[in-house]
Amino acid sequence: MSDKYDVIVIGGGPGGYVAAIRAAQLGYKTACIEKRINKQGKPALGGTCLNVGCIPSKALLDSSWKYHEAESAFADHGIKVGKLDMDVKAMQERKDKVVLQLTGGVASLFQANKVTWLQGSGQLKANKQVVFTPNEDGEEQTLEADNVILAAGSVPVEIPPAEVDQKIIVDSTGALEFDSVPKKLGVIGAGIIGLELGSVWSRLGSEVTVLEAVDTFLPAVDKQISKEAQKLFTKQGLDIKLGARVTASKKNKNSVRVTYTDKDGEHEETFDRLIVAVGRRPYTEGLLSQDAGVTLDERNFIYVDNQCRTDVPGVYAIGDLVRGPALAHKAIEEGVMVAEVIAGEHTQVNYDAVPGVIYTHPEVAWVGKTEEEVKESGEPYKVGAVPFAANGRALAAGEPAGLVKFVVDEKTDRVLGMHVLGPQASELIQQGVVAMEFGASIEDLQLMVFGHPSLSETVHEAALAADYKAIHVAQRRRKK
Amino acid sequence: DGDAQAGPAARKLMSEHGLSAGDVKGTGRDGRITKEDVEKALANRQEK
Repeated sequence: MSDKYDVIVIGGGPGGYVAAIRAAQLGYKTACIEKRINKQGKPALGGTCLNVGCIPSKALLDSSWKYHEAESAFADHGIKVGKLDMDVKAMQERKDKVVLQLTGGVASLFQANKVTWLQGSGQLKANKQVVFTPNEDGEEQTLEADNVILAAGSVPVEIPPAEVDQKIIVDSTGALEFDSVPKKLGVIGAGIIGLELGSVWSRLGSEVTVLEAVDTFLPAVDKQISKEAQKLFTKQGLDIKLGARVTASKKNKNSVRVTYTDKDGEHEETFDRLIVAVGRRPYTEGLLSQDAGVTLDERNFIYVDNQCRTDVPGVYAIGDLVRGPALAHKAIEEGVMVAEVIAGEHTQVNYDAVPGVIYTHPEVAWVGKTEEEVKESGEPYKVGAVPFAANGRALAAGEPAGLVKFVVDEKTDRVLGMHVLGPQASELIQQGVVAMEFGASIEDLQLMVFGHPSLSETVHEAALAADYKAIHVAQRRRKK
Repeated sequence: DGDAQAGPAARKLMSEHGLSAGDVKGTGRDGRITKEDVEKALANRQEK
């Protein structure tokens, strides 16, 4: 039997499920193939982000932050809590509940929009045929589609010197499942995932060492921000070692001995648990048959144009499978774009205004160009940066650390980038996204009314600071 | 990249009708093109 669909999506993560819902909204007969079985042993939509990524990590970041605050910041407010207790199992159960609620929510949305969820794996063949293999007994089926959207996502990168067993040496998935707090925790990789997971367990009492092979901390982030962030995270207890390359690891029954080299030579350190968080790679295993006709680039990403078309007409690829930042909201907008492109619309994703966020505390967020990038371009620019320490709302909240920074084109006054380290940076950055989408000048932001007292006032002050007009910080003109 | 002188909705509308930023008179701040401006340009085009 051959079933025919207007749109078949392979993968039910943020890119895939959103593409499927949008395609169904546009009136297409749509199926979404997803093979994931969750930790309760049930089929689950939502992909990496909802099941083992964004959502569970944020749940644990929030729980661990509350614990950390109760332990170390409540006294400042005159709140005494006596002896504080921690129930890691309960924390994990809460996280699992949040995940189940959200993944169940996607399934309901599929029902409401009449998207067919095919539980199993899909492989693209020639002529837009898709072979569907059900998770459970049931026969392989060849489906036909006018349009196929590949959204199979990504998986953690593995490294030979530290092979993951999900017990002692874990990847991000395993690091979200510890049932007790490791006394000594090693993290390989000081990227977004490593810093977030390191933060969770450090707040709950782990002694955390982060080993990063690269010499620069957060190289993609504006240097003024990353320098400040490194200082803060170190003060919070993350022992961040840069230029530290892991060469070997030796597991014992309940610990792992890690060998790494840095500029001072070879070192050894023993951890109770080790997290490998060096990156993610596109997950293309089993996705494409020999004759599928889809091209991969040299880094194994599926090759697409700026509207996510592959080399095969009618076949699209989105999300972590393709170039660009491996972020859920990037996949989501590509999913919407592709569904609308199929419908003949002219939707585009503005890749120049995709925000990035690290959910440490304080958070780090950015959009657009860093000062270093603009400086390199040779175009004249100006910057405006002010600290949260000058913000009444931040002080009232006991959150004075961090800053907001704008990078601005000197000639046109256009906002080129916004960078935040501080409370609610993930929310504040969206003001920069809106500004950049509308081609705002920094003067536009200077002339707007910002509620008082609010953290957003720091955004306003940073905009003013670009022209030496900040009210609440003393500014000295920078010599050119 | 003159298109960035317009917001997302105006950019999409221009793209749908094969217009570029040079074809539309922007009435926003500093000549920025609003969605209304694009709609007006399209209406004028039809009248001609």
